[in-house]
Amino acid sequence: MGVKTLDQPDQELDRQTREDLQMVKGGVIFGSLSKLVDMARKNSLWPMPFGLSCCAIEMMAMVASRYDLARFGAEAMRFTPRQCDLMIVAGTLTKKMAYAAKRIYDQMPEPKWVIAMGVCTTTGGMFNAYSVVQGIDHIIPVDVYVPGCPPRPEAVIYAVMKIQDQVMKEKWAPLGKRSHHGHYRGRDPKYGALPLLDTGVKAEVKGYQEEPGSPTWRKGYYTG
Amino acid sequence: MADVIQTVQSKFPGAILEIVEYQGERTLVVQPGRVRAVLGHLKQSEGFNFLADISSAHWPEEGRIDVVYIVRSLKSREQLRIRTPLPIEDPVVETVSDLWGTADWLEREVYDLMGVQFTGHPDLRRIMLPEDFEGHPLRKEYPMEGDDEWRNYVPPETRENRE
Amino acid sequence: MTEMNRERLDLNTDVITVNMGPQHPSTHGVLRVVLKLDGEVVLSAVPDVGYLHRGIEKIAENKTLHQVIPYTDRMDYLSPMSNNIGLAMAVEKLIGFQITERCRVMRVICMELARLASHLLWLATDALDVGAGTVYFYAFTEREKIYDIFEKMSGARFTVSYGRIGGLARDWPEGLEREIETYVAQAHKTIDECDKLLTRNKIWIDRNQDVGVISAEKAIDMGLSGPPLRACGVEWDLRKAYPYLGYERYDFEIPVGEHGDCYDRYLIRMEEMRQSIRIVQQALKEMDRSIPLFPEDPESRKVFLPPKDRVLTKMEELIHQFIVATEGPKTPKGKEIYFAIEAPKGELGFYLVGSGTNVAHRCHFRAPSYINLQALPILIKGAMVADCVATIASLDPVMGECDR
Repeated sequence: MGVKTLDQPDQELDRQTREDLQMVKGGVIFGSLSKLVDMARKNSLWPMPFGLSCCAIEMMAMVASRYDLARFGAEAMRFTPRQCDLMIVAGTLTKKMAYAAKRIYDQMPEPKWVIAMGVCTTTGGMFNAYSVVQGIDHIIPVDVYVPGCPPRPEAVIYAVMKIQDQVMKEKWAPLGKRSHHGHYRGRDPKYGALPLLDTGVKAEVKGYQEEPGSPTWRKGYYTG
Repeated sequence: MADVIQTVQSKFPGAILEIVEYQGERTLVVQPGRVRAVLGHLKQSEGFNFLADISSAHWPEEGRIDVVYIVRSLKSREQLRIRTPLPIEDPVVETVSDLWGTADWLEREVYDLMGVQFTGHPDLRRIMLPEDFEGHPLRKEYPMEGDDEWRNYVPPETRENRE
Repeated sequence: MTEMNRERLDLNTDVITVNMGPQHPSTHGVLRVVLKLDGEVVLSAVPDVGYLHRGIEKIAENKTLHQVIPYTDRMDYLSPMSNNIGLAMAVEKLIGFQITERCRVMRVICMELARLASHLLWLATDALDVGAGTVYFYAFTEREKIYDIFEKMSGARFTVSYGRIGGLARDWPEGLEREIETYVAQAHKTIDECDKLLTRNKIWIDRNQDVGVISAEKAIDMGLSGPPLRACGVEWDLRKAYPYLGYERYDFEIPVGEHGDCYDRYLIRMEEMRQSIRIVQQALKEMDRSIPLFPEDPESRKVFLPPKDRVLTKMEELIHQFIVATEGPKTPKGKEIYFAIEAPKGELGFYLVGSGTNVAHRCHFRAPSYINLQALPILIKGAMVADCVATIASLDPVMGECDR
């Protein structure tokens, strides 16, 4: 994609372009529609704040006046997953809550991205206990991990910028399916990036075979 | 404070097994069968109208689980701790949830995490952990990390789908 | 009132069950409430907690007492300062340790600033839930200033882990007193501004007055503490009832409500913020840098970590640091204590049982949010759905503390 204007030297513009430019009397942006969609999407991310614990307060601080996420066009926090394309998981995920987390992720329309904010979300962090899921990537794929307990708002803003970079790499997909996927530890680390997690699509995953020794809860989770 | 203990002793002879004092706090060790009667007496006659806390502790060597009640009088600002030792094989104690509304969830928590049965409790269910969780994590033999498998965890929607 | 309306409109509605949470913007975390509704009227509400049960009590039985301090930060994460210091004081009571006068004053300042920060966040979220979005930005701007002070004290802006058994993590940097003084001198401005926006606001009054009412007897029966108890007219504050840290020396008042509704709880928290400012101002006058932060006698020094600058320059302090960090204070076997502080949410109690080693045999936290939340079915029975949101917000539950 590039910007073409009439001021450019002759050899850079073909005849058709020159005529078009003269017709519209100004600058025109040429590029694929996919890029245009990505650009629009990138600058109007709708985060779904999945605030679980302490990190949620820092997430609130990130939206508030000092850090002001509105500068990145991502301030439209919506609490319904169906309107959102970026899920910020902030806080410790417990086994009791995991089911809700998965369900909310599944409700988000494609394409969607996930930020794992804080070490509890990333790996379970300091809570190596009987009731805590050791990392949300056992449940849903994660695009950007933010370390910190809790991370500073600047760090999360940086993560949002990283997500924006990923959005720009997104290929055009008419059905809204994502071409690029985050890290998913899932049932087996070998299958680091499972294309889809929705129930019933397991057969589509190439080369996937149910491990006989895989833990029961994870089996129960996706076989549906 | 001293007269409260004396009244309890005279009213419930033999119920108090021991009186412990540490850092200015008094603990009455009460027989498990009579803890409800003692607490009821403290509430009705001695003005201990505020139940601050119910807790528990597991002593594997001694083979007992302690249930601890902390009661307080908001008027006289007295505070008293009632501790009752329960046998580990059959930790059962009568509920006090009809005396204080506070006891409802606190007893459920002790039941959930420590496995103490409260007879007469209106709704003794797990409160912190999922319904199908096995074991009582605050017992000393339970590992801190839990089992590495997420046992019995089937999300409700899947369960319905299977049926 | 509702009966009358229904008769007049001749409405015939079915009872429906609505699931609110665990992911809901106004449940302040991961609280789930199962509501039975007849039209707009709440017939019954059953709170379901435990979605943030992280096993802190179990972890605390497996770590040394120094290691437990960071976990208390994550309990009531709106005021980590008071949790840390509360645990430190409980351990000090268990092992019988006396802190110095200056440490006492510094702890009072830290805890009152934490109360201010916590109530500001409550104000932001309560107003946001009820529909006043502006207050959120005002309160957060103010909270950031407190964060800055905490950052200068402890190095972290949010989860500070500043309290230590026997003292505080480190001394304040030079000139922080002046900074706190200038902050506190203007802190009432934001509170006044929010006061102007809300207190006489017609919508705010309609949404909060006579909503979520509980009587004093019922509140004591349900074990409420903190602002929800005081809103019913019970003058009960642990800072006055069982003074700790020399709170008896400071001149402050306990605001007491009358009706026990959401509006009274709001007014009480607003007044508490002003009283906290007063306490901080008085405590700053007592701050005397000539008194050492830690006690100097050799027996006491076995408990706390030596200051960092001495560790890096003196051999014996380095050995001492190693011993304290790896072992820490020994708890007396079989002895138990209960120590409670007046945290921003209510009575935060610590029930500790010694094991004879450096690990507590049992570490139970009496979480005010957990017990206050238990009264929710009583508070919202017969109310409207929208009142549910205002009531939960006015109880100010923190699920990290509630579920532990």
